[in-house]
Amino acid sequence: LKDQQIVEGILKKDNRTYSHIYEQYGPMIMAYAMKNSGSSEDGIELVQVTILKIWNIIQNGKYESRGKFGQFVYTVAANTWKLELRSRKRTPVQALGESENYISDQGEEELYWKVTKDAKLDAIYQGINQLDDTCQELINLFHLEKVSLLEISKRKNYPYNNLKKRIFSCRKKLKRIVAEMI
Amino acid sequence: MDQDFKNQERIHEFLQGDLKGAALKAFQADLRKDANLQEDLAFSRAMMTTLKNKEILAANHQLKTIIAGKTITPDFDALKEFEGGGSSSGGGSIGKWLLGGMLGISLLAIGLFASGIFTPFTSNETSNHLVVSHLVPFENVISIAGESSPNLEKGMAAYENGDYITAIPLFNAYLKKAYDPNVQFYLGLSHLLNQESAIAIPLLERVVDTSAPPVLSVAKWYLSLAYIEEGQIPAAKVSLQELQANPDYTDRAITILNSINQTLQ
Repeated sequence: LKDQQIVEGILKKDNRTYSHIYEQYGPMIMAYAMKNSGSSEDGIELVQVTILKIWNIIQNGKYESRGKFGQFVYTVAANTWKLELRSRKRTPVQALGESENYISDQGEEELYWKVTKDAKLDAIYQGINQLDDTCQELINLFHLEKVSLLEISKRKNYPYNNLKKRIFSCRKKLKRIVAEMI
Repeated sequence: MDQDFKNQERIHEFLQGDLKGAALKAFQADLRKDANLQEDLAFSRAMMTTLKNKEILAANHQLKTIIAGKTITPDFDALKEFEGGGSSSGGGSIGKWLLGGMLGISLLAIGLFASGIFTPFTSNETSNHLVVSHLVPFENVISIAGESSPNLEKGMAAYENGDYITAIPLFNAYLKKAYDPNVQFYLGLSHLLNQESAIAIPLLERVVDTSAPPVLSVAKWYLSLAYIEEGQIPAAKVSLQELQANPDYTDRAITILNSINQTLQ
């Protein structure tokens, strides 16, 4: 595939394009991680993080084609791995069971790795898509947009007390779906 | 059911930053001893992360589906082709850098800080975490024309490949002949990316002192990160406060300043 075809494929979220990038550049990226203190598992994760970053750069119109897509992939992968090594060196691993100390702030670098590694996030993503439209909307309004229950009840003409129960049950259903997946 | 309700509400308020004083202390005390509450909080955080980053999660899910069952093995020969092949700007000779209108901070530099509460880290851990979250290489924006300079050309190629150890002496060799704030910027940044923030600081300070916008703002941004990494918080705050006036940096400067105020004071 030529640069332009790859860019268009990513913009269209075309499966074949992702597959091409994975097969064409994945082995090189994996080799980079393994050559620089990484395990094969690190290498596979780096491939995924790199592809996600490339997706983000292209989706946001930040990619400028110079006819060297492979070099671009290499640069993104190399920089990502260097930052990850730096992060590992400097950030102590949290002890298990200290969930209250969970890092709630997520820089973009950390987010990409987390999205790649944490199966729970993928399960929640799938779970939300399995909820009915009303549940999805309520969860979005309450948890993401931080609209108050009172405001939601006004907007949706929903009794306040029933609304609390509804959001609670939507969240509970989501938890159940996620638990079944992982 | 009522207790579940209460817990959900408390978790929601906690994540919104609305729990204060005695209510916050009581919640934290309950959290330490109640495994269900811990699990519920972890789930809420994961749900918030998912909701806030739906697009990336969607791309990740699509990718995972596509590569499921596919196996790749490392290809070290293919890697060699790229390790030596990073041309910084397509050949030609090196002359002036056209940073002016070409400067635009890479998308990768945008911090995606969630709005959660910072939990008790030590200052060093938090400052390192802050820096790592925001520190990404600045794109190569050199335009080459005019006289040739192999040191600069090779230095930028190494920089672009993330090989800062090679880039640094090449930039130094170039700068020995004549001071150029743009080259000095990439030298300082290379040290910062190479985990040498103490060396990066005076180099970037000189860039700040000798540059005009937009190079000035870019240098200030990285200088702020270097200050944070070295624990020079008052200097970082001054630098970030100045950066707030530049619309390209307002959001990220405020984000880091808020983080500093919550965790490093």
